[in-house]
Amino acid sequence: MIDAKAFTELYRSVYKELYRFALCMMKHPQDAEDAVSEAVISAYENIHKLKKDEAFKSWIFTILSNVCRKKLKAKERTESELKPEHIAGGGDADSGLREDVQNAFFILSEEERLVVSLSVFGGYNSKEIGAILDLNANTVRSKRSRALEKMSLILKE
Amino acid sequence: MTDKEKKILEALDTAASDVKIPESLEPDKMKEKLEGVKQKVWKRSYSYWLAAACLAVVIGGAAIYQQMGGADGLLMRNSSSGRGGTDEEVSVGSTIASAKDYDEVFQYFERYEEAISRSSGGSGFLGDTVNENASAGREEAKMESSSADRADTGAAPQAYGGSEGSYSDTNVRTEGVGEADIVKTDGNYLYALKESAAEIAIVDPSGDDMKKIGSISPERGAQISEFYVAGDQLFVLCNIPKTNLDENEVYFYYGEDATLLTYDISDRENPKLTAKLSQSGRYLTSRFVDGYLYLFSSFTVEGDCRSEDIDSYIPMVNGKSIAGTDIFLPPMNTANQYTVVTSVKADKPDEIVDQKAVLAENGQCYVSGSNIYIYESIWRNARFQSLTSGGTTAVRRISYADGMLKGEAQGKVKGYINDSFSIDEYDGYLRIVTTINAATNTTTNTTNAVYVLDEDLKTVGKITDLAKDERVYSARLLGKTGYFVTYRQTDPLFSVDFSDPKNPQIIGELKIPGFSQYLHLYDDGLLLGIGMDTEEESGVTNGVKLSMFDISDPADVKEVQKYTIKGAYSSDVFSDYRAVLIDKERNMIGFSTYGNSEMYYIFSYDRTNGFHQEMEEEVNGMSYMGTRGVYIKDKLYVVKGNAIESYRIGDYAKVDDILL
Repeated sequence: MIDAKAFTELYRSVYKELYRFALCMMKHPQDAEDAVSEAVISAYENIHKLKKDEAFKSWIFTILSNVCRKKLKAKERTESELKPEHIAGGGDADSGLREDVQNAFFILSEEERLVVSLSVFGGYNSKEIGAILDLNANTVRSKRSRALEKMSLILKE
Repeated sequence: MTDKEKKILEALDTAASDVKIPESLEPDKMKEKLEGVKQKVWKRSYSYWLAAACLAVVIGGAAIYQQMGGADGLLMRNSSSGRGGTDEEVSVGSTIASAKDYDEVFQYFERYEEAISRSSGGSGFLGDTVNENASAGREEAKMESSSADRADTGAAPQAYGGSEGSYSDTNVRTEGVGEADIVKTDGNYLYALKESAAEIAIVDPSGDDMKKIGSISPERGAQISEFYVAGDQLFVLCNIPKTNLDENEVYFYYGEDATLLTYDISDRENPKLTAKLSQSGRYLTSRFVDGYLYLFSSFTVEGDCRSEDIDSYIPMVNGKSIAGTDIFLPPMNTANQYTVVTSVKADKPDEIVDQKAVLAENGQCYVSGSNIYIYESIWRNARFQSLTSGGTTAVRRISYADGMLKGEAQGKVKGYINDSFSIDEYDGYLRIVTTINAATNTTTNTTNAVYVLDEDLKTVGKITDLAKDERVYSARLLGKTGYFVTYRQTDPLFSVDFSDPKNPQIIGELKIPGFSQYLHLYDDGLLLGIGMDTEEESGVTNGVKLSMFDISDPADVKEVQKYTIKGAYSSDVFSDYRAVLIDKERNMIGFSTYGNSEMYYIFSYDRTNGFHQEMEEEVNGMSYMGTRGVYIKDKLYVVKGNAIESYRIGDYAKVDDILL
């Protein structure tokens, strides 16, 4: 049985990455905070479904990916993406990320952001990302290359 | 990975490591929060869930992948299109125009590409209308508009199926226009899309024990979005990814096809695939009216268009390119996306009746009893300049009688549309409620407006400058009277009198704390609102709130009853009207909310005693998909992901549960 205390210790080992990952997916600090909070509560409620402690990180990243995805979809539904505070995208978004990196990163599609964020914050290799996204490892690599190529064009400017 | 790639990843890592982590997420704070959360224990065996949890990693991931259609053209473009630009209004051609041939479509994309690759300045392409720009030297394809087939005065159209009181049906936008969903019932069986999005389970709920008796699993890779059940047919709407080998013999993914799979389910234990139709792009939505299915997909043109390769910029239906004359050029030169529409007769599911492709940026649909409206928001100066104009929504109307699709008219209004309840056809007129968000670098000036458009989609009446600094949260336009909710600290529910379309009038304004995110005509003179309760002073939310408004006198609307579910902070109903179960005859209002855990509620309503909570039960299934409550005869079924729980209507005692 994993109680709140034990869970918190598992959480302590990954929470910074979780937040950074969510920030890169959601683009806004408040949205990212909400996403992490929701994912953590959901993970805690369902901790009995976790097989062993070692899998905690990939398990909670998967839950968080799903939460972010759901929130982005809900947002898309309400067309918030088209409202000024969101449309600003790279330019005016206030994620707290360094501006040039933010500008470069936020031009990526949701999928590209996911692939890149899972690499950086999840520390996953292309095979592991492929397993999460149901993609061939080569496909993950080519998608990541394309995404990074796009970013490099902006970073150069 | 190359060194250059590694460097970029490092740059992102470094940039992110400077970010301050919100205090509420600090482990010790989180611990306090978690101590108040109850861990779930499913009553079934432990090991069963273990298997499910392992699978979830891959399957959940597959579902993420499914949704990534690349609908981010807007951001992509913005990254490279610094625009000068001033506050002039966006101009939109006044006539709906189809292309004369593929060449014209190609020329459009050439200009589009050119515009997005320009890195600085100038007005030019993005501000121009297609009609001025593209039709030089030729007559516009004018569409005559017939008013006879559009007025909503005749009988309501027949949706498929239809419940006769013994079972519930999906809550829809327009009465008589059927919509697909993730859970359906035909009164005898339950049909539920599993969380994998790869299988629909068929469950026999007769008696007290639910039994899974059959299932539908399309081809590998197909990701099911939703489905219809009509008699002995089940229509699956899914996305099938397209993959191919690249020059290094590596599989690569190049988009997906929205696909309609028809199954014969006369033998529920052995469903048979009978027809398959596909169209380019990601599945958007669909409707089922008078025996015809209408399918919408969103197809993004990415990368290089080559004139000799029409597949690079023309969408296909069932493997054939859509004809140039069936393509509607965008109202403004801003889109690299098509909304593809096809119609199919339900009893001949292997044939396309008609097809159109509408160039629209992130096109959204509203379907009335006789017309399809594709609307899109157009923003200028999106990245480098602030939005000063407040945006424009362009609307195109396509009539759809008996599966035949016909471009009718095009128009525009200022501002953006909250959701499809803010756009409504009645008696030949289209009424639209918008929020206009005009931002400068330092201030945002938000106002709201009501427009009435005639059959040519020309504005004939309007009210502007409503509810300054608030935005529209929900709307319901009911015949000659419309209601909409805006919000900042308190919830003004506006009543609009549309009886003279050329002169709409605000006739009522009710201010109460909180706001409604969904409005539903519950009974004669009673409008139900579901939203959030908030403190008037602080804006702190108290919970999910039910309100009943007495609208018998639209000029003097009153909140006659209310109920707050304390501690609940959200509900699926806020973003998807299909998540609510509302049945006036049975006096049931059902939906789930999120708080410490997800709870499903049933309320009844009584004019004297108000809302009464009949049921409050934890939802035990886990899924990124929404929760649905459906009933058959005397039982309520709460369906979430792979779990169905049944309750006896009345005392709402739990009867059974099943893991699919």
